[in-house]
Amino acid sequence: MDAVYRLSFAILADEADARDAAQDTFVTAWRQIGRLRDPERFDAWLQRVAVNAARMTHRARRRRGVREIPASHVGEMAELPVTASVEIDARRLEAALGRLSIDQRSILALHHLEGRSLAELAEILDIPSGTVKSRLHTARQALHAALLAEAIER
Amino acid sequence: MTMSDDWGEDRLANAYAAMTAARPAPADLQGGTLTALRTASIGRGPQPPGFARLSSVAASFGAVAIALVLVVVFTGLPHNGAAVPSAASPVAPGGSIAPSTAVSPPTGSAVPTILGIPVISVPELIALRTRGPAPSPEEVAVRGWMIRSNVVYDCAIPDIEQHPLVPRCLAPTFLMERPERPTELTTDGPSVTPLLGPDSHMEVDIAGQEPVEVIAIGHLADHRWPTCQPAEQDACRRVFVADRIVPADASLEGLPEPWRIPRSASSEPSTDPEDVVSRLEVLLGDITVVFMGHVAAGLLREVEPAVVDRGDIDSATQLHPVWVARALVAGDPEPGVARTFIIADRRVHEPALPIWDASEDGVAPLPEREQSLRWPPRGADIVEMPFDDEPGRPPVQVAVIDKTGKLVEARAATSAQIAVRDITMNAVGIADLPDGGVLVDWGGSMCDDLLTLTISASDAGIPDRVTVDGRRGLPCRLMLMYYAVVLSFDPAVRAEDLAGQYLIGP
Repeated sequence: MDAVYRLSFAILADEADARDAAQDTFVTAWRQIGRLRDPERFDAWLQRVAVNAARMTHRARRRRGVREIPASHVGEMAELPVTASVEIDARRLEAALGRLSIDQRSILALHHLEGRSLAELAEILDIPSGTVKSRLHTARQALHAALLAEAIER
Repeated sequence: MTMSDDWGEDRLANAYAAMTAARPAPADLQGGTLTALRTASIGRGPQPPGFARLSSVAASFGAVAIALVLVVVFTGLPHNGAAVPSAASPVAPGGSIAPSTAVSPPTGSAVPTILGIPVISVPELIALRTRGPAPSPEEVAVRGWMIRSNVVYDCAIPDIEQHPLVPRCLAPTFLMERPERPTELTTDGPSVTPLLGPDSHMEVDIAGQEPVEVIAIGHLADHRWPTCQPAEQDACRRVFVADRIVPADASLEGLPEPWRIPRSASSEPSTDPEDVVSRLEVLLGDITVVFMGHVAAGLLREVEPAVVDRGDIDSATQLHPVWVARALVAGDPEPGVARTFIIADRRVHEPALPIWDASEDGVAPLPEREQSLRWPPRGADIVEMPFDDEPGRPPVQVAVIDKTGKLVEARAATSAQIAVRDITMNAVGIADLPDGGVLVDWGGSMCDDLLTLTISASDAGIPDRVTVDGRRGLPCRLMLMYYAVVLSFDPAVRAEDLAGQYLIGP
C-alpha cells in the first residue's frame, strides 16, 4: 500500500489526491485481478492501474477547481535553509512537478522513482517503446524548465 | 539564491526518493480503506466521503453473495476426533506412514512402532549400519539402554574444521542392548554411540549412574555426510544420529519441545512451531515431525554446514533466525526417510522466504512443485465462492481443516455479528458471539483466492488456535479484503481460549 501511495503522490504531488488515488487503485485492482494472467508481472500491472487512477483523480480534481494544500506544507518553502541538499531538491522537485502535465509526471515517476526501464514503461503505459523514449525526453525537458522557473521565481 | 541546476539521473532519483519519503502514506489509509470497504459491503452505516466507488463495487455483489464476507457453509464437517494425532494414530491427520521394509520384525509379531517408525533393537541397528557399501537413511527407533560414560580420556583437537557429524572430544553416550555400566570405552554387549548434537531432543535424564531404558529415534546416512572431510565420509554415513531420545514407555503426542541454538537464547521466536508445521503441511500434505528447533541468526552453519555453499541462503540466515524441522512426509516416494526443512522465522507482516530443503545435494529452496500449491489440502472441506458479477474471475476457495474434531459448523457472519468488533489488521480477530459461536475475522489480501483455515488443538485436544494461510495466491500483499466466518464447536469454545494468526505473503 505504501508503494502505491508513493507512486500516486509522486504523480499528483498532493496528499489528499494521492490518498484517493491509492484507494481507487486498490478497488480497481481488486475488481480486475482476474484479468491478470501472469502473477510475476503483478507489480507492473498494479502500477499501470495506479497511473490510471492518478489520471482519473487528477481530472476530477481539476474539474472541481480545488486543490488542497496540507497544513504541514504551508510556509515550508519560505523557511528553507539556503543549502544544496537532497531535502531542498525534493521540495524544488515537488513544486516543479506542479507545472507538468499528468502524463509527464507519470512517466517521470515510473522511471526515476520506481526505476522502470524503457521496456517496462512501454508495458505499463501501453505505448510503443519508441514513444516512451520521446515522451520521457520531453518530460525531462519540461521538468528542467519547471525547475529553472521555480528557482527564478523564488 | 544560487543553486546548481545540473539535474542528473542520480540527483533526480534522490530528490524523488526524498520527496516521497517526506510524505509517507497516512497511517489510517490501510485501515480506512478496509473499514470503508467492509461498511459498504454489508450496507450499514454512513459511507465516508471519497469512497463512492467502493460502495458501487460492493453493491454489485448483491445482497446475499457478498464477496467480502466469506460465506462459508459446511454440512459435512466431521464430529469425530479422527484428525487428532495420538500415540495410537501417530501420523498427522489423514495420513499414515508405512512401516519401513528395511527392518525385519520377528516372524508372526506385529511391527512395534513409535511415531509410525519401526522399533528395532541395538543389534538390528548395528546390522543396518554395517550392511553394504552405504546404510539406508530411513528413520528408525531403537529400543535399548542408555548411559553417559564418565570415562575421562585425553583428546587432541585436530586442526580441521569442526563438523556436526564428527564431534571431537566428547565422552561417549552408549546405547546398549543390555543395561550395563561401562567403565571403559566399550561395553560387554552390543552397543552403539549415537550422536547427540545440539539439534537432538533429549527427553530422558541419562546423567545418573544407572542406565535408562529408552527409545532413540534417529537415522543413519545423515544428509550432511557429503560435507565431512573426504577421509571421514564413510564414517559419517555410518553415524547413528539421534533425533529424539524418549523413555521406552513414552506415549508421544503433539510436537516435541523445540530445542534452541544457542541453548541460552533469550529472545522468543517470532512464529510458533505449530504455525511452522501448518505451513509445511499446506505445502507438503501430512507430516510427522521428528525434531524441531529454533536457530538464532548466523548460527545455522553449526548444524547445516552445506549452507556455506549457498550465498543467498547463507545471507538470509545470517539476518534471520530460522526454524529447522525434520519430518516424515506421508506423500513422499520414500515416506520412511525423514527430510530436513529450514524455515525462516519471520513475522507475519514480513514477506515469507522460501522453505529450504537440506539434503545430500546441499541446501536449496524446496522444489517449485512443492512450493506451489497442493490443493486441496488433505483432510479439508472446500467451499467455493464465485464472484457473480465477474464471470472471468476465479472464485475464492476456503479450505477448512479441523484438527480438533469439535468443529460442527462454519458459516457466514451476519452484519450484526461483524459489528461486535473492529478489524485487526494483519491478525486474526476472535470474539464471542452473544448467540453462541465465535467470530473469526481478518483483513486479508485481495489476492487471497485460495485460503486455508486450520483449527488446531492443544495437547488436551481442546481447540486453541486458528491459523489462516493466505499464501497460496499471487505474490500480492495488499490489505483490502475483509473476511469473517463464524465457527461453532461442540462443546462450546470461548474466544479467550483461542488464538489466531494470519499468514500472508507469497
